[in-house]
Amino acid sequence: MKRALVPLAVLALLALAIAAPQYITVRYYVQLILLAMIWTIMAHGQNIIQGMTGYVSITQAGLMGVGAYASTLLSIRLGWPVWASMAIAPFITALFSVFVGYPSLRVKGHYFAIVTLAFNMVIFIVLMNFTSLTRGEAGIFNIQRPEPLFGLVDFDDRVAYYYLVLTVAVVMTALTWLLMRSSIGRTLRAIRQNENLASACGVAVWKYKLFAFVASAFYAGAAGALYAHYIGFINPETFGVAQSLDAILAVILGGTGTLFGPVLGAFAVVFLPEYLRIAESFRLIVYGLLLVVATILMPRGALPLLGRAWHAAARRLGFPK
Amino acid sequence: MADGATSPALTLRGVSKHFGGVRAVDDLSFSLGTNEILGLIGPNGSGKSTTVNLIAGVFPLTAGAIQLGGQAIEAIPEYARPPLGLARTFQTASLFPGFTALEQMLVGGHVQMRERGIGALFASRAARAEEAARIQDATDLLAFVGLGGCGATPIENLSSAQQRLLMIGSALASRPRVLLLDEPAAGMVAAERRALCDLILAIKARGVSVMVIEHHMALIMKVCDRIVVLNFGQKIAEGTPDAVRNDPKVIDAYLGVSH
Repeated sequence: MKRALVPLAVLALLALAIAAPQYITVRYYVQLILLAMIWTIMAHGQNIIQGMTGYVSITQAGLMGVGAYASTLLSIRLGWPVWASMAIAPFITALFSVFVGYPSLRVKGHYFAIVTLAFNMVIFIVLMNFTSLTRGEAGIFNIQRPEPLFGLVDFDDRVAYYYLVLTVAVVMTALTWLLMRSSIGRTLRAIRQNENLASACGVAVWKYKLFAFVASAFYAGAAGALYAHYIGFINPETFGVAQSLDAILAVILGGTGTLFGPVLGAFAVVFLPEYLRIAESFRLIVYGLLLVVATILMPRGALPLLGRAWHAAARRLGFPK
Repeated sequence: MADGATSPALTLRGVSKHFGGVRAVDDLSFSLGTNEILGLIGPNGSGKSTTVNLIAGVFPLTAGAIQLGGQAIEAIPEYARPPLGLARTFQTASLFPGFTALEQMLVGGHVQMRERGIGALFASRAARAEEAARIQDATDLLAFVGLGGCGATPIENLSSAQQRLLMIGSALASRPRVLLLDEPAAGMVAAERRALCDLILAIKARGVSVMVIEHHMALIMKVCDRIVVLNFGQKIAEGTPDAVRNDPKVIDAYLGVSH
């Protein structure tokens, strides 16, 4: 795509996202878009550690759970204002991730994936069994939406909450963009491409890896808080390893290491299973097949493929390159 | 040993590295004088690259001590040595795939960067000024190593000789006082090797002390002030190029005789 067109495309997408709830009358679709935007935040976080730094983490949903329960428990058990609980949840999640990341990122390669997988399982088991705090499998009901803003915006209204999520998603996307174009982003990519050389260049590799992991946790915590106070009910099932794999898929499907790939991937991960409901009991099989085919046909994700399709179309229509 | 007038830039004392029963480097002592070019030669498997890796801190010593400009560095982790003025290249072209030559140089100069935190993230005025200065610096260095105008070129589009030069440029970007070159001429043709000779001499002229591993004897003999010869991890000879060239032990172990 022509460079100058990218900001235009981004603005068009943003306008579409702002207009969507005004024109889409089926509440179910508004909800799906809202969930996809929450997943976009998740996927951005996953992309920082997996896509930019090259370390696959299998605990993004577990960290989302930490954020969701942190915000919920702060507001329900301690009676904190919902706004404050939601704002502090990403920081609690980030702090949590330091304790996992510090020991597991000092090693290179695949050990990190295994340690994070175990971490997700531990989170799940604790959420299930620490019933006095989390009410276990039964979950926590009646989680409040944030208090009205200046007495004007009532977040019990789905559309108002939609715009809150959209705002956070846009801010997190902007943050990711800043990170990507900064020298920090360049250093993270250097680690992904050749960790030994990065180390020889004097990069304190483990610090950068830890930063990437903690940043990914921050995103997951924000997504978790938004999710909990939207749905109003959380239980451990939502935050298992399967959902962490979905976060990985969102990054791979959309385009690893790109800015808008994870956005695309997040929508795919939310919408595809819903649309496949027509296939009923074959749903998961079809989903699995689609993923395999997609990975074979577009190993670098959908976004680079779309870019090439755009080029081809532009050539055929006779646009200057 | 270096002559008494100049204090060594780098000193190894009794350095050993054993991998299980293999003594890759065995009780090795030598020093690299300030602003000297020292050659490290020897047959394959004699411990040259292991020595570079030990100096760079890729893995710990089994025994011995290494000093960089008088400071003990053997306990300092690899990534903390470049800030002290140490840089290296690798035997096989080791770069960041997918990067442009300029981006490679900028990461190579990582230790020169001051703005690494929030300022870098939000592109503060200081961070932008620093980035601009470093881009200028990297561009100058690219020209210095013979890659002028290649800044925007993806690494994959550079020839293998150009990639080797970029590796040297990237190492120089950290502004080292000591530079370790591990077979810089590998894969180069004669004309490229001659240019490399000039480059190594020019690096010395900038005040950098250089240790170079090479198999091309013409290059070694031309650029080196002194040569250390290894065999089976041990030093078997040390001296000026002429002395080493005529040393029977060196001829026997490495150079060979013309029958």
